[in-house]
Amino acid sequence: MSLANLRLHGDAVVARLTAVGLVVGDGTAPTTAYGLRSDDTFIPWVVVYPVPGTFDGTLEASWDDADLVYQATCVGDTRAACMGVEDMVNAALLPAGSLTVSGRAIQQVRLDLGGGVRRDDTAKPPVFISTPRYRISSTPA
Amino acid sequence: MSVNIDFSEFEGMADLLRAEGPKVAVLTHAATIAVGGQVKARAKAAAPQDRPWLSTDGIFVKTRKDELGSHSDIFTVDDPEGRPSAIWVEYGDHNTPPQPFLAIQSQWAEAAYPAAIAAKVDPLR
Repeated sequence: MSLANLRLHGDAVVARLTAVGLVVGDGTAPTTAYGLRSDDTFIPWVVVYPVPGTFDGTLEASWDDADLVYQATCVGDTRAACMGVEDMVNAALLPAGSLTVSGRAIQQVRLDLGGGVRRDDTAKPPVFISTPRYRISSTPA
Repeated sequence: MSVNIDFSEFEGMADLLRAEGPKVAVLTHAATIAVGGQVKARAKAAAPQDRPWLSTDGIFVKTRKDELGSHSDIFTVDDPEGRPSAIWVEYGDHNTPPQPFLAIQSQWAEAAYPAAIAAKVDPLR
């Protein structure tokens, strides 16, 4: 049996998004500079959250194959900035070979749910967010 | 390594549809109603308990049948103040984590729905 190491998969998603230049929060808002700055510039960001996924496999190894789902909450000060972050996340995660996890073969990363921007008035001033979800199919290497 | 693709199940289903089409449609609709109800129940159970409105009065199921087949929509409605709060619970906001309760049920239904149809239809074989 070779159960998917959940932490390593989450680490791979965060590392990949960081590598393409995004300001990334790992389960919480990022700790590096983001948001509205005192000089009126706004630095968009993305937060990665693991969402419940599914496990499957053979009779011998019932849980070896994992479909792990992550939400990337993309945040910008405008609709365009928000969608720009989402485009960067798509470009970073969706191509074949974008993620590597030790001991595992990542068969596919697919967009489980994407598109759609909402104005978030809980922030002052308001921000725009989109919340695409990605399904990562992982099997023992 | 080899890959064995067995189409016998499909052929059997095609024969069954030719012979018992109307019965299969009725049984499929019954399965749709059952699974739709189960998805709603699962979503209610998964909804945050600190928002009792959502788990008790915020989630609905609507099942219909048309020329394309049976459909079950499980959906949320605006809260008593007229706000679409369910979407903010499901996906979070710029600073609040998502609390998935509805979208994740599709993963369960992907397997449960075909199994429910098979359970209803298989006795006709």
